[in-house]
Amino acid sequence: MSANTKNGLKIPAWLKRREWLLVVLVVLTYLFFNSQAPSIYTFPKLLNQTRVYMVDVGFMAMGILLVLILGDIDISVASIAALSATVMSVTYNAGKGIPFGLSIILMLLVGAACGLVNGLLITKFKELFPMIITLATSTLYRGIAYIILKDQSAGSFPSWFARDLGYGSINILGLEFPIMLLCLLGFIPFYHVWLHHTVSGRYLFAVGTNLTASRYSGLKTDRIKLTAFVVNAMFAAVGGFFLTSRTGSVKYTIGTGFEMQAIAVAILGGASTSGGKGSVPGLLLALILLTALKNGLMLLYNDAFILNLAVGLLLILVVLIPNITSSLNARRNVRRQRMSLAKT
Amino acid sequence: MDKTNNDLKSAHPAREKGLVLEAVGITKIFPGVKALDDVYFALRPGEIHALIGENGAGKSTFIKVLTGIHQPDAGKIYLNGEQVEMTNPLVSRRLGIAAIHQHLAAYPHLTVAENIFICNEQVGKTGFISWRKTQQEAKKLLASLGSDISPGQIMGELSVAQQQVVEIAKALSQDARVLIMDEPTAALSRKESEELYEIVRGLKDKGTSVILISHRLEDTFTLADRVSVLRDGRYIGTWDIKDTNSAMLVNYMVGRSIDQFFPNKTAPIGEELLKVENLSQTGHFRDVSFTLHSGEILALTGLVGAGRTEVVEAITGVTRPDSGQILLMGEPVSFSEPYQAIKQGLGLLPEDRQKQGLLLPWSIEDNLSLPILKTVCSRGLISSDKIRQGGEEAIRRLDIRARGAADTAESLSGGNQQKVVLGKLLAGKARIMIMDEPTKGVDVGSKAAIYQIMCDLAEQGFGILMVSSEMPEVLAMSDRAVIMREGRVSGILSKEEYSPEGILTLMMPLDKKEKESA
Repeated sequence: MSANTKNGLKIPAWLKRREWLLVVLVVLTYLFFNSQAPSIYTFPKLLNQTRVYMVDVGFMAMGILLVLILGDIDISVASIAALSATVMSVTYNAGKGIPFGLSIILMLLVGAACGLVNGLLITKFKELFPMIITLATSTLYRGIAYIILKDQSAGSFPSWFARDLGYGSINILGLEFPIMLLCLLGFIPFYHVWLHHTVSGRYLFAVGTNLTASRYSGLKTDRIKLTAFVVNAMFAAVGGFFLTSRTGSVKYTIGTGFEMQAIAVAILGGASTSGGKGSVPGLLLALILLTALKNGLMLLYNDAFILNLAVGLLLILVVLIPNITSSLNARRNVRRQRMSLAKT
Repeated sequence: MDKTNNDLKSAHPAREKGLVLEAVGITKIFPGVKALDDVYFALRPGEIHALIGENGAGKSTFIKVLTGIHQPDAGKIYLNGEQVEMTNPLVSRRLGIAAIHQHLAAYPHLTVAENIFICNEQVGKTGFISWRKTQQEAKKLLASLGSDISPGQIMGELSVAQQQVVEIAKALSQDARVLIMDEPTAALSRKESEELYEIVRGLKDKGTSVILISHRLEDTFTLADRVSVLRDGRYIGTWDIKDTNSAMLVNYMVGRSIDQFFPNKTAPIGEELLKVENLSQTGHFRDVSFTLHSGEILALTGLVGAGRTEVVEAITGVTRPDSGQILLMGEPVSFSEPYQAIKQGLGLLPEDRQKQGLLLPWSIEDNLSLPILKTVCSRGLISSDKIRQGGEEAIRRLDIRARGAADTAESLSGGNQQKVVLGKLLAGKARIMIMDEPTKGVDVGSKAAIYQIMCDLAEQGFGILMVSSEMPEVLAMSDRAVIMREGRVSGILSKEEYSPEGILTLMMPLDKKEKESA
């Protein structure tokens, strides 16, 4: 009883979630850059820039989150995006090949096939690390993209794809929302419900929390892993699709380094490389935070190096804070237990 | 000396002088459990002192406190009359306390000599490790124990008994005044045990004090001078070995007589549910055959490492047998994954509840619902109301002690964790339940509850295969017992043929000569 009054205010559990930390950081980032460059760093401009910083990485991060929840990692997602986008552009071939709709389906299938290869290697050869396997397949997939395209770029697409989806926006309440951002925002609620409220979503968290116990409980752990890698790769292909639509052309080098950004977003949003953790609202907030930060840094310094440096610092900060607070909490609990013991 | 007298509770014997080691009022709390509660222990110079108690009585925790692996929450440790703080394992080692742990913590890829002098390397004049000196010193130490193990041999190639000797040599190399041996004979044959006894007696003659932790009362009676008993984390007492007998000690360890503890199993035995024929798995077990009937509790017993867990894992699809047949109600089956076995009505309560049974950070209700997640959905979405209902129902039915169904599994005590795992098993549709060490590390109250549940299940026509290494449990609970020795079935006894000696003889490893004649 006395413990409550001694510690003063009791913070409710929902306020302790990491998402609040991200909300605070988003607001602080916005206010800081807005005071530094009030004329160019505004909300409408930021909204316009989401097409550059948010959508493609966002889809890749949604995929990678599944793999991170399992406690695995996949660093081949950017290469998968490049290969599937390459296949899409080459098969369409500026209207001379197959219809664009079929190219898109083919793109998704190529993504799925890449994920299947990753997933099979990882579930069949359990002694190999997913990090190493996907490092290898990463160079493999990009290598295939290079064989297909060489140093060329493929770049004529239907106008709805390159112009409307890539640069179009829709006016909602006086604000110009990029169409691709609306695609992302429209999809996230479905993704959220699936991950947090269905059996297959819950299975991912179970396997990531304790693979052995999940297997003993009757879960088809290998199939769950395999499926997650396939779905992850399809998300990567979708990321490549949006990336292509805003750049307007495909080279084998597109999206280089995006895997790290996607992993950073998922981890900022609450995922952990040891598995069993992750949240969709967190992921969305992390995406917004990175967009606000990168956009501001680009305006102030126009230097990609500074940008990466800042993202790295932020990642360390956000991952560390909950760690420190939870270890402080644990220490306090033990002390309290000892005190109650001493009384009895 | 005088100022410490206040700390002593009246229950403890009067303090004697000249003790090597004395621990007073040791209390250790883990989340949710009091692992040690006001424990007293006194060690005289040059004595062999047995520390006994059931699984989960706190023996291992106490040893970890003595060796600085755990810090006590209360209590004091005196070494030769001076109070010491064992802040970490290095401190305790420097003070002359060496422990040989239950699971040998050796480095299997290094040589014997390297193992002996690990963290205590023999440095030459140049400041580099002198391998010649290392080898020589190792040889000297091993010879002083009457052993001819070569210092250059790879640790992993030695038998368990030889590894024990190396561990003892390691302890001697650190000038240990107190040697703690945790279950040293658990995996040894009778002959190997006797050789180990000889070595331990030799140490005693040289003035080393030995704390011997053992399950086997036999060890206690042949070796020890005095014996202390722990039960449920509490100190029960210390006796001269001459003044005790095994019935007395068992009584102190269990705390009540066996009839009160075990329920009366009355379930009739019905039709055959499971038949295992000549099941083999290279390196683990060979030609294992037995049958399980409905309403029957069949014990599968043997020493640690006899292959019992491997057999049940091969039956339930965790691993695959190399040859042999499994018949489920007369139909041959073969499983490559546990979910297939579960689908066919074969449930497993795994041996290690923390690693194999539970998702520790998850709540009780989420753990319970995991195997039946598809049944707690409404319109494709998981219903947290249904999960809560199921959780609360299980808490009531199994008497799980928790604040509520939303408590995490890791906050529970061992016995209550085991009840949650049992609840997961019961939630499924298994007709055959395989329980691997169902009461390992479980408090007495939960034990009785688990036994009652097992009897109730038998009454309802379930077939139960109980893997157990606890003799009283096997004797009291099972209708028949399959006894394994070194990967083979050494005998199947029915209840009328039970005797502790008979079962023990079938369990003990054969010595080389017996093996040749067998």
